[in-house]
Amino acid sequence: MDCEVPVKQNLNTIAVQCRDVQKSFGQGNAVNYALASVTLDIFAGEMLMLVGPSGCGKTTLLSVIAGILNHDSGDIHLFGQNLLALGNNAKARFRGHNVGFAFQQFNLLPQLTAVENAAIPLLVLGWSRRKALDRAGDFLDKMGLGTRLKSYPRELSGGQQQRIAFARALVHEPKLVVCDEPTSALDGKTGEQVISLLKTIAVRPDRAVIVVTHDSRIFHFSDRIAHMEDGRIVDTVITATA
Amino acid sequence: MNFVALRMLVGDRVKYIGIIIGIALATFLISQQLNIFVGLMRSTYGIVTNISTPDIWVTNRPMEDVDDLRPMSDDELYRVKAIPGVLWATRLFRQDVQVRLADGKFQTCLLLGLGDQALAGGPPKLLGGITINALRISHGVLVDAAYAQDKLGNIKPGQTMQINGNRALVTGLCRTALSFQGLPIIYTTYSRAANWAPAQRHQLAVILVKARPKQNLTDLCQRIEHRTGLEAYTKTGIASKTFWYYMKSTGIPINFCITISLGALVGIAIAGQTLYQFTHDNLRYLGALKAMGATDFTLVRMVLLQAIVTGVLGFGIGIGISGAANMLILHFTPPSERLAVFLWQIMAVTGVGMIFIVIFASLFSLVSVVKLEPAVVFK
Repeated sequence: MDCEVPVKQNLNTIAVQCRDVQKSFGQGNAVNYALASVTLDIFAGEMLMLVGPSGCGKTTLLSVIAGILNHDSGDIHLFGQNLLALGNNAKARFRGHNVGFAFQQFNLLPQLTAVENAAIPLLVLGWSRRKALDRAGDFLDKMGLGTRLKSYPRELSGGQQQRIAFARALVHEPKLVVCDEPTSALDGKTGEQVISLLKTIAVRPDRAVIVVTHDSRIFHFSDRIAHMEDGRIVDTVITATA
Repeated sequence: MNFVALRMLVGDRVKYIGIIIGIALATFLISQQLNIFVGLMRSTYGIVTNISTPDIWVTNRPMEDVDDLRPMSDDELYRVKAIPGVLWATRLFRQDVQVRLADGKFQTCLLLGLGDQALAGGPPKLLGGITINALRISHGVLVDAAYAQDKLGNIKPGQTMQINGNRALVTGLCRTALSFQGLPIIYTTYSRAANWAPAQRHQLAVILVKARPKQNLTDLCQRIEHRTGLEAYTKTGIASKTFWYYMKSTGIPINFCITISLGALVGIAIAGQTLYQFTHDNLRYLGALKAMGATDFTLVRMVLLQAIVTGVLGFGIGIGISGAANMLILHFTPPSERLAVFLWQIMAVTGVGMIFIVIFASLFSLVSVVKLEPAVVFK
């Protein structure tokens, strides 16, 4: 996969469409409305950052958009697919083909090497072990980790682990990449480097990238920022320059 | 994903070894108890095994087990001989006797008297190249070699002993199956045995019958019972009846069931707890796999693979330890007390049992994996 230059978002293709999405936890007097009513369009070709204070519902919104948490009401369409119409197993398969995940704690399996971790989405899709490792190895090589393919996560720095996590999120060519606080475990300089790499490699005309973050130092990498408060989108700001 | 499952398993060495040890311990306990149980129950019909040649055993009514026989009149022998389908019939004397050893000590033994003419129904194996005709020597007896060494003062051929005050000459050694009571077995002729034993009104314990070629044994048994009023059993039938008598009338089966169940519980407890802990420690990663598209079926398959691999390894080690233990037992136990066996059938039964134990032990892990919400990875 070649490194790509940043592109404008494709306003003609809505990657994620949320309409009046609501999600609550608990019951009775203890109910907590994590998403009060969210209406948001995310376009293919853009990196959207979800920002807001702790507890405003950013991670919950990310979870329902990615299909790993069911919302209570409203509509979510991912590249035209209504998520509520899918059963659990169908949703899992849909995620496997179309969504890439980068977690806050990396969640790299400690028993697997770098290349084996990066190959997991391909193994989930049923690729043979050899082909999956070859493809993941090529990907990691382009991320500058070609000499560390057989290293275990404990032998790598935080930035290297995050790059492996990004490789894992992208190796199966998903249409949507979701990242939850990708720089929270990294120092400022390393954080900027990995987000820059993500921006360069992940953003494509046929792919949307959503990043949940508190880190204002990386805001400038976004194409758009959506501010959340109390379970609602209060504002969206275009940050990308032409 | 099988490769991922196995790497996750082997990567946590402490728990991986812990699960294997739990399964190995359960395998050892279960197989050892089964070995002892089977050996013990086989000994209940040891006398049947020790009387070779005849097809049918005819006894007086009622007969519950082969060690508790009501003697019958000698005339019954002639009635049985006259039944169509009978090739030959001979008498068998059976009684417990007191044997005085060279050192003056006494030992209770089981005395078997074979029909004088044909000496049919002798021990399964004769040692030292002798034949059954060694019993025709005056005062001659054959003694089981293991019992001769352990309980009869290491008596050898050519030496004498006293049976109920009568002089007996050991004319040969033989190999017999162990008996339930653990009594040494001594063979002699019927008339000699009848003379040595305390006098009774009837002394004929069993009539041994050989069927004519191609004679259906079940039919012959029914014919004998119908015409004589006695009970007639094939060799398998009398062994089975004795076996089930001991199963129903003694505490042996229930006690072994308890011990075997405890062994299974040990396996389930150790393996199940460790496997659950292992799955719990990896829930975050399993959640990540679920988020990345692994279905519940895939994750269940991974957990089962981990359980089965540890189960197979633990079973292999447990059976190996059981075999080694059996060898040690054979080495240190007197031959006359070696009741435990080591059969492939017991290994197979233990293996099937371990499959159920492993699956049951992994149930809690499977439930937690199926209930796992992939959104946990974002918490």
